[in-house]
Amino acid sequence: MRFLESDTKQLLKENGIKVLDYHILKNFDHAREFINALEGEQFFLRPHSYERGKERFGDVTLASSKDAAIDKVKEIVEEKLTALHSEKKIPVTEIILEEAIPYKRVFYLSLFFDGSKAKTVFLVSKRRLLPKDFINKESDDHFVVAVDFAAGFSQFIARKICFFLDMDNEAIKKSIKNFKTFYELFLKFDLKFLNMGPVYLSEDNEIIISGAHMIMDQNSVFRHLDMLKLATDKDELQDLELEAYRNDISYVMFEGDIGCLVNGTGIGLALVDLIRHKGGDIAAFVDVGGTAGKDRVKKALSIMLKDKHIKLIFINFFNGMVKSDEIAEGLREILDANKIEIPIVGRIDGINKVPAHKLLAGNPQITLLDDLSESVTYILEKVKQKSEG
Amino acid sequence: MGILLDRNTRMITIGLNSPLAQFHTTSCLEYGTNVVGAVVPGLGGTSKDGVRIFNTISLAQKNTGASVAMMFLPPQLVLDGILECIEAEISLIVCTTTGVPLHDMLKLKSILRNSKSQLIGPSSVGVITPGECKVGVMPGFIFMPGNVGVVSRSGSLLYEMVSELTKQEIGQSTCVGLGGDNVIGSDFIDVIKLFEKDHATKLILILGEIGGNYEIDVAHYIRKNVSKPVVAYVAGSMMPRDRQVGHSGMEINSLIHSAEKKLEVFEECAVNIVRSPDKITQKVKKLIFDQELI
Repeated sequence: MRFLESDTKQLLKENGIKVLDYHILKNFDHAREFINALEGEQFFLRPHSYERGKERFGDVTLASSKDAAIDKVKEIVEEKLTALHSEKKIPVTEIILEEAIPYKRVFYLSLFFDGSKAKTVFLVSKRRLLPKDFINKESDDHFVVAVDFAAGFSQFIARKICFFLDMDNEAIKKSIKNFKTFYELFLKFDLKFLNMGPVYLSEDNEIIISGAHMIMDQNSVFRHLDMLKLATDKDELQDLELEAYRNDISYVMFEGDIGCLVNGTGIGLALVDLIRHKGGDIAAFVDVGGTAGKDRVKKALSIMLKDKHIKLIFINFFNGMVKSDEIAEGLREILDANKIEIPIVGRIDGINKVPAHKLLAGNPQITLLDDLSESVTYILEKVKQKSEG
Repeated sequence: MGILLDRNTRMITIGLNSPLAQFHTTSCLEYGTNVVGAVVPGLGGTSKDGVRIFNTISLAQKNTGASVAMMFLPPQLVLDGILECIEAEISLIVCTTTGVPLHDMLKLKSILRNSKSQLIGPSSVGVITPGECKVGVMPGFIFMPGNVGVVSRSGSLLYEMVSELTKQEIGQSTCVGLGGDNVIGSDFIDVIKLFEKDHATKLILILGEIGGNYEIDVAHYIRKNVSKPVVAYVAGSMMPRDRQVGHSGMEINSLIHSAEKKLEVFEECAVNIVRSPDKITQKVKKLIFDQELI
């Protein structure tokens, strides 16, 4: 579950962390008036967006005068926002303006999970943004330190980070409590990521947060129901993806023509590998999960039928947790209720395979196949015929 | 033979009250697993389809001598359930629950390190030593006794690949579904260690996927410590990288290793890699034939 920058910063503020004052520019046509009405002369600018949006935009921009700030706004709007809007992937509708402050250091700080070590990790980078293709090893410009759950936070962790950033003794003394707060917030809100950057160390040795984003563990939402209203995941989803999301279905659209309906991420990914190795491409990756019953499967298929990009639906279910005939029943109900214009190819295997095949056998709207590799060859041939004919 | 489970293993089910748990407990029984009891707080002293029910896990353990627990608790109760298993010194806990909170797993990991229990999962489909014992939700009929040790993060991919192996008459020593969550009880290294020592296992098949560092860690481990031939496939190398996919916890972004990167590391560590899932069985078959493993 993702949260917007403003909500994350509000949370930090409530917990005693200093946050740089900011203004949100919503209407770009009035950028000049808006900026002229501000008191400062120098500004930091960046789009109000998610982490991934920021990566694309590169660095935060510093404007050293009001005129420069207005020019920068234009640049961001014209060059970058339009590009993103046409891709419809990351909605950026606002720009954040911060009055620039003099600072001693600027860095990026991220807290996240290291699954394989089962530890919380502090990552600090001397750049303003997260290093690209970050690998969990130290280098000249980034540094990691892991916190053991049983031991909890200890001061040396903060000291290690501070020395890496070449902070002086007084700054270190002052900032240790901030690092402790970050760790406590990470635990308290069941976070998966708490990313802060740029973070400034001001001239009077205060840690001041400029950008911040957090992602809460989806599985822990039941402990934080009051935060649900702030979650913003839905903003970056398209309509069908959103409908799926509400029904606990993972639905991701791509550029190709084959829609894959699967009940497990692993086999779904393997299927995409296979389809692309054989020269095809997918239009939608739809995963209902291994525990999905009849209703979720029905919902997923009916959403896929609304997706105009899909030229063929490939259903691949290998069932363990849930019985195949239950899945087949759901599929049959949808097939019987709709006149479907695109070919549907299915592979159903696992527990109760035989009754499942009986339920679907002879249905003209679905072709049942057995072998994985042969099925993929078949669907690619079918898609090719369709696009030629 | 095989690892973790054999024909003498005694299993209890934790949370037998759901129809799902009942169905899979029966299916384990039918496969030949010694299901010796179950735990449902408040129903102690009763029985369900011939399975004795106990109020607490330690009571069940003492009365039945069970060493393995199959867990079907809802996500909010998993932390409590696993802590109770640890207290009862259950040596193997197989947790099938999906959606366990990450911070609960973090806590459990630090406790498990100093315990007598090993955890497989959460979101695991289970463990099976074909022909002897099945603890989990997998369809038993796709497995066949033999000499390939299979370990996979994803359950669905495990079924698919094992089913291919069986069609080609390549049997398996033991198959383990680790679970696709970010933090899991046992990782590839924990399982590979056991396969290396196991006499029945002649070849090891690793099925990885995008997300996390588990595959990278095991690759380095294999180079130093494993003498048996290893085949590895990592799902997701052809996936566009800028979107999150899937129902489990994985995310595709720059914070994590891509499938392609993992395959490269496996290759550097002298593991036989496969890039397309339809080539896995061929590769395994060729190695067995070339090296006269069986």
